[in-house]
Amino acid sequence: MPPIVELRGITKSFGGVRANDHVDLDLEPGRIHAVLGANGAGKSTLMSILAGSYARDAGDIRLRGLSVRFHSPADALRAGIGMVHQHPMLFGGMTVLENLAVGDRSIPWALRQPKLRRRAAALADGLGFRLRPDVRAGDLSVAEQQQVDILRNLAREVAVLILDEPTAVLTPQETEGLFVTLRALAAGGTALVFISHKLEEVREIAHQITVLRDGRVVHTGPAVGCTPDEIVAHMMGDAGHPGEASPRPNPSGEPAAQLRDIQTSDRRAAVLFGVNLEVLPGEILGVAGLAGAGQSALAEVMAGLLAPSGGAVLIGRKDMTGRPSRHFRRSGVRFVPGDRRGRGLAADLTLAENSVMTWLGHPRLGRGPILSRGAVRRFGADLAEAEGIEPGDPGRPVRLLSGGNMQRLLVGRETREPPRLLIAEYPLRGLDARATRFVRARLQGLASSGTAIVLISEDVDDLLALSDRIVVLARGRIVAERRPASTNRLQLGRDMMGQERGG
Amino acid sequence: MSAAAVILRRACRDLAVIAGAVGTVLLACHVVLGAAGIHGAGACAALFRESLGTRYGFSESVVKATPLMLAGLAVAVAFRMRLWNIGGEGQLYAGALAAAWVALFLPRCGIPRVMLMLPAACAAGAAWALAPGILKASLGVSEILVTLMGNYLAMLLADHLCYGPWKGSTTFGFPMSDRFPADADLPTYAGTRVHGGLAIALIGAVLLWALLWRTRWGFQVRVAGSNARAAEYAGYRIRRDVVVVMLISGALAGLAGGVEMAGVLHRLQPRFSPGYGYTAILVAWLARLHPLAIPPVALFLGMLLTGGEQLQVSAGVPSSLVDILQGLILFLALAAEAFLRRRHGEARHPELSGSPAVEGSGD
Ligand SMILES: Nc1ncnc2c1ncn2[C@@H]1O[C@H](COP(=O)(O)OP(=O)(O)OP(=O)(O)O)[C@@H](O)[C@H]1O
Ligand SMILES: [Mg+2]
Repeated sequence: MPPIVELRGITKSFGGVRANDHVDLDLEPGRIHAVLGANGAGKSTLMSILAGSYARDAGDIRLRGLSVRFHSPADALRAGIGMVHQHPMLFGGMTVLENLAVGDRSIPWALRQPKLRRRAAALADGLGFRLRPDVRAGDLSVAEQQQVDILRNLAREVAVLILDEPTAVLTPQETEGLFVTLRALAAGGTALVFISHKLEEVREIAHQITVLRDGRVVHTGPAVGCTPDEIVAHMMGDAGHPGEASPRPNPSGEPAAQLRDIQTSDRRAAVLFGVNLEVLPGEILGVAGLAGAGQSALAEVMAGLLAPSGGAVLIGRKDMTGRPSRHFRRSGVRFVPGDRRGRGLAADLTLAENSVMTWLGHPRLGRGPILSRGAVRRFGADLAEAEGIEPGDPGRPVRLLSGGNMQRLLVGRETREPPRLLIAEYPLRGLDARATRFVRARLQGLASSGTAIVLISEDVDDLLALSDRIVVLARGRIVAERRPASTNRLQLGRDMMGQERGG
Repeated sequence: MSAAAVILRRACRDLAVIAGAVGTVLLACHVVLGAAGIHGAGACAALFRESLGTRYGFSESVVKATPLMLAGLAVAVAFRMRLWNIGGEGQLYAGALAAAWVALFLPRCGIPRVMLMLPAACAAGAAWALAPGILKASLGVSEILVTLMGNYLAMLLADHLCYGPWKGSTTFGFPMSDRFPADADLPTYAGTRVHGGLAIALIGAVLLWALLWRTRWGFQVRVAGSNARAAEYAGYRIRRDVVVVMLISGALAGLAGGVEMAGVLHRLQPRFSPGYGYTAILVAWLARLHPLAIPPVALFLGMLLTGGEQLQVSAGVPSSLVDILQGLILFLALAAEAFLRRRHGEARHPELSGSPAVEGSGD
C-alpha cells in the first residue's frame, strides 16, 4: 500500500541543538510504526512537526502524495492527523467529559452531554479504562490524565494517529486494552505512530521500526526479527551492560514511615479507605495498582502534600499527621512525583534553578538569605553532569528539555543525597534503556545505604525485580501483600483487578 | 554565557522592541490622524519632540514617570507571583493620604516631615494591600476583586477628606488641603520639577531586582509564580509569601503616592492621580515584570503623557485626538512587543501551551 504520510529530509534545530537532521519516514495505512531512540533523540520533535505544533526548518511533508504545511495542531487535525503528547494536554479546570467534548464538532451542542457520556463510556470500556467523567481533569493522577488524553484522541477518528509514550504510566493490563484498540484501528486502515521506551511492548505491537539517534535515522525496517538488544544497540551505539544487582542486606529496624488507617476525602486522585502501611529502612516497598487506584493519594499523603481526613502518618516515631510538607522534608522525606511537569518542576525556570528547588537551604548555595548565582549554576551543572542530562546547559529553561531528560533532572535532584524515606512515583517514566538501568541501580544503592523506598510503578516486572515486598492497591484499599520471590506477574495482575469487580 | 551578556542581550532586545514600536506608530498616526485633517506623523513627531526634545519636556516626562516606576514595581512584584494586584491606584491613594496626614497634622519635631511622610506612605499602602493578601492566603478569595474595591474606597476617602475635614483654609473654597509646610518637600533637581522620588524609584528597582534574583526568598516567589503546585511540593510557605508579597507591592504603590505628594503636588487634591495605578499594570507588562526594565518603560509612558499635554497646549490639537494618538501609540507598542517577543524568543514547547492540567490549582 502506498504510504499516507511521507516525511522527507525533515530538519529542525533549536538554537544550537539539532533535534532532527534530514529525517525520512513513511507511514502506511493499517500499519503501526514504532519510533524509537534514546532520550533527546528527537522523537517528540519529529512528531510535533508532523502534528503541526512545530514548524520545520527544512524538508517536506507529503500527505497522500501532496505536499502540506501545517500552521497549527488544529490544521493538522483537520487534515486527519492527531497526536497524544508525551505530557497529557488537558484543561485542568474542566471535567473529564468537558475535556472530551472540546473541539468535537460531530455532536450538536445541546445533545453533547448525554451522548458524549455514552460514547466515552463505550470507548473507555473497550480499552479497559475506568473513566470518572465528572472529575476535574486537574485532580486526576497522571495515569488517569494519560488515559483521558488517549481517549480524546481516539474519539477523533483520524487517519494518522501519533502516540508519544502513551504507555509510560500504564500497567500491563491497561496497555493490553490499548493495544487491542490500536490493532483494531490499524485493521480499519489508520496509520499509527507509537513511541515507547518499553521494547517488549514495541515488539508486541509494531509492524515497522525506525530508530533515531541524535536526530538522525540510524535504522528502519520491519519489526519482526528485531531483538530488543539490537534495538538498544542502534539507539545507543553501545548498550552498556547491566550491572549485577548486589544482594542487599535484609531490611530491619524500626519503620522509617508508617501509615495507620489512612482515609482521604480529597476530590483528588482516588480516595483512600483505611490504608495501613509501613516501610523499613533499607527496604524497597513496591506499590502496584491500576490507574487511579490511589497511588498518587498515597504518595501525597506520605509526602505531606495531602492531609488525610482520618488516620495517622508517622515518619520515624514522630506523628506528622496534618503537618505541612516542609516538615516532612525536614524529617528526611524526598518525593519524586509522577506528574513531573505539574508538580516536580517549574518548567519556565532554568535547569539550574530547578536543580536547587528542593535544596534551597543547602549551605553551598550562599550565605544567609543570599542565593549565589554562581553556586546555583554550579549546582545545576553538577547535577546535569551526574545524571547525563542533555543538553546540560544550566541556564536553559527546563521546558525545553526532552521528557526523559526532565525525568533525569527530577530523579537526580531528589536522590542527590540519600534520604531517610524516598517516595518514588513512576521514577522510570520515559527513561531510555541506559537511564533506566542507571536509576534502578541508584534505587538499589539508596536502599543498601539505609533509605526506605516506596516505589510506585506501573511496570510489574520492575516491581518484581526491585522490591522486597509489594502491596497491591485497588480502589483505594490495599488488597494484597506479596513477596516477589513467591509471586508472579499473573498473580499481581489478578490482585490489581481483584477488588475491581467486587466493588 | 555570562550573566552580564544575557542582561545586555535582553536590554538590546528591549530597545529593539521600543524602536520598532516608534516606527510603526509614526506610520499609523499618519494614516489615522490624516483622516482628521491633521498631519499625523507631524503631530506624532511633535509629541515626542515636546516630551523628549526640550529640557522642560524631558524633565516633565521624568516627573510623570516617577510614580509610574514605583507603581510599576508594585505591580511587577505581585504579578511575579501571579497575584493580580490591580489595586495599585488605591494603594497609591492610601499612601498619599498617609503622607498628607503626616504633613498636615504631625507637630513639628526634630526631623523634617518628609522623612516621616514616605515611611507612612509605605505603611498605608501596605495596609491597603494587607486585607486582600490575607483573604487570598487564608480563604482563597480572589485578590482581583478585593484590590479593585480598595481602589474606590481609597479614592472616595480622599474625596471626602478634601471636601470635608482636610479642606484648606487658604484654597479659595477649592476642595483641597492647604499647602504642606516646607519641610514636607522632597528636594528637586536644578530648577525642574524632577524630585528625589526618582532616586528612590531607581534604588527601589535595583533592590527589588536583588530581592527576587539574589535571595532564597525571592527564588521561592519566582518558583511559586512559575508553578504554584511545584512551590507547594518543594515545601515553601506559599501562604505566608502571598501576604508578604502583597505587603511589598502595597508599600511600593503607597510610596508612589507619597512621593507624588512630597515631590510634586505638596497638597492633597481629589483625583490627583491620572490613573497611575492602572497605567502601572501596562508598565509592568511591557517590562515583562522585570524590575530593571521598569524605569525605561515608565519613562516611555511618562513621555506619552507629557507629550500629549504639550500638544494640546502648544499645537492646539484637540484633547480627544491626543487621546487617540496616545492610545494608538500604546496599542502599537504592545503589539510590537508581542511581535518581537515571538520572533526573538525560543519556539514554544508544544507540550507547554497545552498543559493547563497543571495550572490554575494551588493557591
Ligand atoms: N522547544 C524546544 N526548544 C529548544 N530545544 C528543544 C525544544 N524541544 C526539544 N528540544 C531539544 O531537542 C532535542 C530532542 O528533543 P525531543 O523532545 O524530540 O526528544 P525525545 O526523543 O522525544 O526524547 P525523550 O525520550 O526524552 O522524550 C533535545 O535535545 C531537546 O532538548
Ligand atoms: Mg519525547
